[in-house]
Amino acid sequence: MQEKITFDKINVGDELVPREFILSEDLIQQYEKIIGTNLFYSKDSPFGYRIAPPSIATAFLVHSFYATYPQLERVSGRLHAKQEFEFIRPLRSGQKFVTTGRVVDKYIKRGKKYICYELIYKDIDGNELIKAKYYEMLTE
Amino acid sequence: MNYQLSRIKKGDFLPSVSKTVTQHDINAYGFLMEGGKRTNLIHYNRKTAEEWGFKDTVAHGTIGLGLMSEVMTMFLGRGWVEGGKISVKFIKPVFCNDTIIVKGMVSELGRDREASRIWVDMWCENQYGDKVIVGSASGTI
Repeated sequence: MQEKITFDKINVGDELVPREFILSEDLIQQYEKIIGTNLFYSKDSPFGYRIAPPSIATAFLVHSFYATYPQLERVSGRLHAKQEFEFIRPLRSGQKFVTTGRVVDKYIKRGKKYICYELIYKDIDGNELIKAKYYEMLTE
Repeated sequence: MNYQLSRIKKGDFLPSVSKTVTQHDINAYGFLMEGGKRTNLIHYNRKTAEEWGFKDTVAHGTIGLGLMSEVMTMFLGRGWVEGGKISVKFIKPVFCNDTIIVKGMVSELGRDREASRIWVDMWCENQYGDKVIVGSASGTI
């Protein structure tokens, strides 16, 4: 039987399961339907090709964490507490990239349990694209 | 991009955008973020949201962050997409059919690692004027 994952069993330093993605044009367009479109990201962008709104990175924030702790994913009531991003290079339509990361903090504040993990998005050549720090209030 | 970045000064306000977040938006965003799994039901099921103490389904906080990022693209263009940084706290829930209004103000201009950088204080308010997201962002110019 799979061991129950709880806040106590998450360790600072735990490495997260890497996840690989391909950023499809369809996904970019679905995201733009929610937050709006901007011709800046079109194929006429300053980069000479179609890029994604940088905040599309949020669509890939949780996969590595919940691949590592699948039981936590099934619990409702979780709340996103804080978020940090550094956009190093833009994601381009059709690009393959990988997210890797590790747990960097866990704490209890006003009786609520929080975890924090860092996530790095890299292209297939290992170039850093985005760095993220995700803080979530857990429920168990 | 119409902003004359050379004329920006501390205290200048950023462009503002607003969006009313519908359940359709929440469902669509959740599909992108959770791969269609719908595991955190406070976003999709009103009864579950109420059981957790919320008055309605809760929008993902990062929808607001996405709008804040769009303001920064409007403001800085390439200097946001390539070199932008943002840090936000989600301080109050955004409920289904709430309106998010993004606001921001230039807080500092300076240099960072051989590039000129501009720092802004940013926040989102709901239709009642309550702050729901607070934070800061910066980009190169």
